[in-house]
Amino acid sequence: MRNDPDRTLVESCQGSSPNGLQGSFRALYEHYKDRVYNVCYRITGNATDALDASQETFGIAFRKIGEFRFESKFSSWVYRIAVNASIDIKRRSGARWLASLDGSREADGVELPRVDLRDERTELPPAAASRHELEDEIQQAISRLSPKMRAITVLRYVENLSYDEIAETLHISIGTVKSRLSRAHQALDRELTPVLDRHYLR
Amino acid sequence: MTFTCTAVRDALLEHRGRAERVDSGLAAHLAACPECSAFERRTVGLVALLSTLPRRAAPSELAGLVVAATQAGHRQERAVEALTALSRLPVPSALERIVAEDRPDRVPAGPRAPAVLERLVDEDLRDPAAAISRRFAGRLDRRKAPGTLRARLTGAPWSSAGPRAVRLLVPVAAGALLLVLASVLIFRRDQPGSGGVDEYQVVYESSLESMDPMARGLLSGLSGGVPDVQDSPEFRTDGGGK
Repeated sequence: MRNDPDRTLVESCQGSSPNGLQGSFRALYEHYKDRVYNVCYRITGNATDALDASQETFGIAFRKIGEFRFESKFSSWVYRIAVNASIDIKRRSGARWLASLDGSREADGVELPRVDLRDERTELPPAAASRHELEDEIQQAISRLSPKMRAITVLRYVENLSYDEIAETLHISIGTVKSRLSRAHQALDRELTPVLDRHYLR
Repeated sequence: MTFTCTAVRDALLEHRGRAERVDSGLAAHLAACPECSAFERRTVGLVALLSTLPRRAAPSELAGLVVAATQAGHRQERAVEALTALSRLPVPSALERIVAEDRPDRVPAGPRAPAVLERLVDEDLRDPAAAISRRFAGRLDRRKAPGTLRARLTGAPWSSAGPRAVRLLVPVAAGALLLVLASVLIFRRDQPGSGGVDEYQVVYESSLESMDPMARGLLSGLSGGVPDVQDSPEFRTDGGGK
């Protein structure tokens, strides 16, 4: 039995009869809704599919929470559902994928970018327009990755999960996490080096 | 501790480009290896770039959608439970007997093929073209004979011999009638006080050929040309027609 910060809430859900988005499940929803939506958004690449995938994620979590046995962290379980739902929805709506990239320009609900200022060699893009353009370019680079590499990139670089958490979430070994991230890094390096040159002074 | 380039790059990826802060040996390798140093720069830049992606907050409508999803799940689960809870119907007692009686050689009840079918099939196989002709010819509607046919066959007044005699008698009668009328008129004019001075001669003709040409022309005009009919055999073409 590992220590899971969500154990109390999950057990509360398991001990009570399901009652929609209320009580403990409501608390879990509030705790995870942004993380789930963010993962779904970065994997699917657009708001519509992200909303569908998020809905599906919480719907599955609600129906299956009674079967959760804490063999992994609840957060890993939720992330796994979100990743699978996003990849599945992305596969189903593949045709409209690139066409809906404009949706990433929506300003609603967008937090300010978390720019890593620790490195003195990097500089912020000068304007918001440039920031939106940069986001689009990064998102498109992520979208060109395979579903597996896309998922691991989002979990690692967007959700900042550790190798252990990624391995637990995706049900893969640490070695597979390393090799998959290495390949994703190579692909992103190829795709984003020109972007880096354009947007940052090196 | 010495590091290979692969180990250094793995460590850089794992620590998001900050591996040199974890192990001083890495820093020494980076200082000595320009390729790994370049890899470190690219990794730091890439991580910085990916970290600029803004976090998307869940839209407000997600809660409503999740509620709908959970309720849909409930309905689905209830439907499954209801289906699985359905009691199994007992097998009807007659089923076993029906199955036992349903032997392959058993002729099912219902309409039987007529005895004539065998002969028809045999005919069809022997001569398909003739069989088809008979089959379709037999389907044609039977037409009723017109009433005039019966009259012609029973020798009614308008039989085949009748109209020809009538056609010959009519002009003669008409000519005679005309002459009678003309003579009456002439006779009246000759009466005293009528003022007539012309003389007329009444001639009785028994045939068309013996009539005066002018009288015949007049008669022809009055009778519609019927007196012109030549009733001699050389003018007959089809049994009495002109």
